[in-house]
Amino acid sequence: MNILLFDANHCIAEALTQSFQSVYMLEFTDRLKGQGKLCQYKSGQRQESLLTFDLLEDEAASIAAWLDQHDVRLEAMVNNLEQVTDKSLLETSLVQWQESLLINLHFPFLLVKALVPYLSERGQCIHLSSTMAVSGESGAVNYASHKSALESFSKSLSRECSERQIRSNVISVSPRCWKETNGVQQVSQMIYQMCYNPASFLNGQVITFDNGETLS
Amino acid sequence: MVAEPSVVLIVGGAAGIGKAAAEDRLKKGDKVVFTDINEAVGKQLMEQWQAQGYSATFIQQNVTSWTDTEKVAAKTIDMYGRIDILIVSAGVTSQQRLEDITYKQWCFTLDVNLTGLFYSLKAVIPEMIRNGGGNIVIVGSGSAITGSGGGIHYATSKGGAFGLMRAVADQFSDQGIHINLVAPRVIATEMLDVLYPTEEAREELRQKIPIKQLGTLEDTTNAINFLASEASRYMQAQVMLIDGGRTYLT
Repeated sequence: MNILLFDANHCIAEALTQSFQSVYMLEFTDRLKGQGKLCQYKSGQRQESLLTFDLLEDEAASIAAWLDQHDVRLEAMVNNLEQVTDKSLLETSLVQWQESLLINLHFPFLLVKALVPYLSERGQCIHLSSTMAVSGESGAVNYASHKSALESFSKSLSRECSERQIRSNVISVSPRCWKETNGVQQVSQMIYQMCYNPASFLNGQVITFDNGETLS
Repeated sequence: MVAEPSVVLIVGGAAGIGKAAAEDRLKKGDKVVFTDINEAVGKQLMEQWQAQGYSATFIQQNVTSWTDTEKVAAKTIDMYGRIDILIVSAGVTSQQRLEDITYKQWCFTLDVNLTGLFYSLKAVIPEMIRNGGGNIVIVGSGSAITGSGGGIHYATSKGGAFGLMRAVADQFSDQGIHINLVAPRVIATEMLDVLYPTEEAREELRQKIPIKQLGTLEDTTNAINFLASEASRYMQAQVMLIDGGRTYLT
């Protein structure tokens, strides 16, 4: 089982390394410049740095070339890239808006476009989103907008890739869930289930972890 | 008592849905300020409408420029002292598959369709609040719900409008800001001509629509007028599909 996690510096990363034998991860050294290293975390071993990348320079071509060269096929890509700015509409600067676009949408686009060909047949993309996309949060206007956009991105991706039997789904997590003691573990378990017991009919969906908060 | 004409700002008002909305509001006697990137077409329309006795003003605007957007809001306020209705209709699309969309095209589509909306809301809402509130109608797309039509870049940009609208509503609902989104699908516009360039392609499309007809600009204008009016007072942060049943029945 090969999975690729888009951001090693996210709280889900550690939980995934405990569940999966091996996880490829992008470890950003400068996120806003899209620069970092592709690493592999193997259970019980130190992480191995495989190559450096610059997304804005080569649009993830170097990562694709490495996968090609090493004949690696991925069962799942987990897009956990996110940039949260707790600013309302009037407080949000133009720079903050653009930075949020870059991390929440532009980089996932570049990575998914370049790496979808390396997903195995019946592989999948799993995107982490937020219930803020539905509830709207005045304190995080960028995040609410860009996660909402990501959910439409995933639906479009599911349509485009379904002919290769590649699926795309979203796990939408409420801010409160992330703060719960076992919140991260629950999301990690969901990803594990989706990878090891894949439901072939689950495609283009948003799975929500919010304890019913969003609709209340 | 005759109602006072509304001051209507239409971003992207020289073509398609925006143009139809502008023309309709002018016929209702409103004062319309409309913008577009295409200066020649905008000026021509303004002259045509002014010659018909309507209160139409065109301002050239690149919606991806904050400076342009600020200027549009300021000029409208200079002219009329308020903005009662904001309709954001500027948008671009191209029918491409993921592997064919360049990074430049991706960024451009998101800049026009989503950042342009963000700028419009950021520039106009403070003015509306100063005047006790206002009605905002965003022209979105049903493709954000289904994830199809116009390519993944288009659907993504339109999906972003949903969250942005909700965040704005969450903050400004109690300050008189009434905001909703009309989501047309398969409306006969120049944009549809880009996506379905031949009659054969359009006929194939018609057959996929439960009512077997393409939508018209009038259908969209009616929905926009409803959302911009007191009649929809209790609707807030909603997505109103205008799609002949296409989204949920097929």
